[in-house]
Amino acid sequence: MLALAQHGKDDEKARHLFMGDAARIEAGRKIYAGGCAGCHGPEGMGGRGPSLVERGAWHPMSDEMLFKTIQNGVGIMPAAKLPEDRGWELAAFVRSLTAPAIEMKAPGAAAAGAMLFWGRAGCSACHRIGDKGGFTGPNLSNVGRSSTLPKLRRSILEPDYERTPGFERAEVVLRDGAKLSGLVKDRTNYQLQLQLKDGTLRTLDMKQVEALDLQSTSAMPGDYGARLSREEITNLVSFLRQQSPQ
Amino acid sequence: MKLFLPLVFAAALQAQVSYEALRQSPNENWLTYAGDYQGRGLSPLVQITPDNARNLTPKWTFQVPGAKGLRARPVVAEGVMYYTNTNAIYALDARSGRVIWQYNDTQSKKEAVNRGAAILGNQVYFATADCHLVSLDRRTGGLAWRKQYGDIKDGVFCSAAPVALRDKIIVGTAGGDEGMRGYLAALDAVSGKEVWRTYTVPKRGEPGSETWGDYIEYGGAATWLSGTFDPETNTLYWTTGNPWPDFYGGDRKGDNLYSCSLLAIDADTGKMKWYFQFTPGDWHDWDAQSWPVLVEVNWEGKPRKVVFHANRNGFLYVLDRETGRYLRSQPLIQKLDWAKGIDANGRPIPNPDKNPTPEGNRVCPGVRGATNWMSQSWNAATGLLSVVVLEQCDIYTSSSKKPEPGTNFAGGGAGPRPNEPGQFFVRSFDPLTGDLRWQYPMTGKAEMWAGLTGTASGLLFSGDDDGHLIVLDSRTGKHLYHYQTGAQIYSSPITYMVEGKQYVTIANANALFTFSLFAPVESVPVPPVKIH
Repeated sequence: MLALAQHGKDDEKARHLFMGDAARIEAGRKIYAGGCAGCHGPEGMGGRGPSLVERGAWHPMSDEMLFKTIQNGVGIMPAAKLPEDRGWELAAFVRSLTAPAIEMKAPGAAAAGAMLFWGRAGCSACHRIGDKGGFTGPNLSNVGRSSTLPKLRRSILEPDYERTPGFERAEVVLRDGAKLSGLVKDRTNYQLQLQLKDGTLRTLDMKQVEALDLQSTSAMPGDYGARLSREEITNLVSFLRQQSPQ
Repeated sequence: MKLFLPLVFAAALQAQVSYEALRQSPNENWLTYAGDYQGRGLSPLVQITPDNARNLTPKWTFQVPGAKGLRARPVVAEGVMYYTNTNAIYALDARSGRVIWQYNDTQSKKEAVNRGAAILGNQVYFATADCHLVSLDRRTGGLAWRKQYGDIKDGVFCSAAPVALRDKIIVGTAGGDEGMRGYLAALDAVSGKEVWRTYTVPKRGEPGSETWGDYIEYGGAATWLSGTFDPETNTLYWTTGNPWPDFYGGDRKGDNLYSCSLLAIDADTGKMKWYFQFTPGDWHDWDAQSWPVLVEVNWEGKPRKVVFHANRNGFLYVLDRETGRYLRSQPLIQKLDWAKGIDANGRPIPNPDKNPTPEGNRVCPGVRGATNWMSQSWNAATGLLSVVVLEQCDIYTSSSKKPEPGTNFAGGGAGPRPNEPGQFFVRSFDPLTGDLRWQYPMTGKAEMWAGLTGTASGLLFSGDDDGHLIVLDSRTGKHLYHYQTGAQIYSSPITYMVEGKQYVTIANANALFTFSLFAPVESVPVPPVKIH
């Protein structure tokens, strides 16, 4: 069964009603914090127990299998044996840790979030959606599909918590004296792939490089929690979770 | 709601890949699946030559995540290689194989092989297995859109590399072995909107429908291999697959238009200019998926635009490219017994009793065909067309069971006798006279499908049936270099140049391998790296 689940055979099955329901997820979060977090970590990132966020191993599980695993336990994980609705609330929360944001219900006014994104919050100076915006931050055209709701919110409030690979800022001095600044898409001791601010890619040999100065912390301001109100953050998340072009 | 942009960003300075650039490929770049629009499979690069090819050496390997029998051929623009696998695309540094970005399409409802990508402007395009054309910013992998042009519920899936024209992206369809109605379509390169769609099987009542029977709605004639293109006449040349059910034609007595054919199609409207059917009413699963190679030759003293086509049914054809008129043909293989020959109009003269039977009937060539979809190479300087061919006979069985679309029913099957295995060859013909100039026989299990890429310096790159990259002298077939990749090869090589160095890339079943001429590795001092 598990082998089947891992190959995604079960993921087309009908979703349980609670999945994606914000109130049920919130209820599930409380159950999780009281019991599961001790092993799986407060954010589901793992600890004594495995990470629930790493998609590959368990994401394709059907809702039914997720529920049963919670209720009946597996290996050294004890059976939760919750009343049925509580069990489904917990399952809905666990699912929400990895479900694409666009598939989740979320409060907030997306239109107001768009105004912030393209305007006052300054997001589009670095982030691109469609054919507008900058290159210095991750392209967010498909972020509703490629990110989860919790991850979206956290990346606004705590941008340095989980850095997207390929956005380390570099000042490069070449042996011929030229200087370049850009983002390190990839780097080894032998080669460097640098994306300049206008999106141009420069592929360099490290033997051309005299010195490399890297800023590995996120370039994104870490004070959005103070700059924007709670409602504005909610609106921004609401806008971003919808980004998945068809 | 009014959106405003606080900051205006200058358009990226990186050169966009224009239609004119596509017309000049291949040069240092390899911008289309076939390398050029015409499918000639010849690079002008001359750094690697028959004299120095023995100094080739592997430079990098990219293990393609989750690869199971890679079919794709890369495209390369300005030192960046774009490589596809099932529902995924990778942008790699073409000098080192390091990943610059990747995109995994998590929404696709199907898995199937993928044959490659197309580039135009700042975008790179590929098809998901469930028939969505995906448009990505080739600098960042940012998703612009994914537009559906086929529905797996109709038995269709998608594997062909798209073909980028001036303002359209042409896409094909697969699924002809299980019953579907084949078509090709043009999508607007900017918006993804479908501009035209041309079906390869007529609707009941339309002209040509009288060549079918009860199952015309599931006729097949899929379009799973990218076509070639003549920019001067704005004509696409696209091949079609077998009629369904593959091995039993008793319910579709007739020619089954336009299966197993070459179609000439107006690229602006999708209108069919002409068709040429190689195998009318096919019973042997001999799709016409093989390159229509567009060339100008001296034909009876006059320049003439022709198309060369090496067909799975065992014959190599020369057709007039403007009219579709049959000019000549010749056998590609010696093990050929299903037809006596080709008549003056280009129609095969079948031998009696060569259809599949319930008890099994030995027929040559085998079901995999005398050749298949891998690339060929035409070199105008030598007048040689080089083709990978398979000498094999199969036992073909048929079933008169009532056909049921979408159930894996093919009306029978085919395969070789264990004591009569096939053998692969690279063969170089003068297609105008039929002379076989040379051949390179291979050892192996008759399992591979590697294509050919030539160079102006007189080389042919390919893969052999034992999993080697091989390099041959294109004038003589002499072996010059080989390298064992560790798995079977089902793809066609490419060659390109970055920063003055010529590279050759081929995929085996699992990974990409890239080679260049030997140069001692210089020690790279680790520069002072400050990390803040």
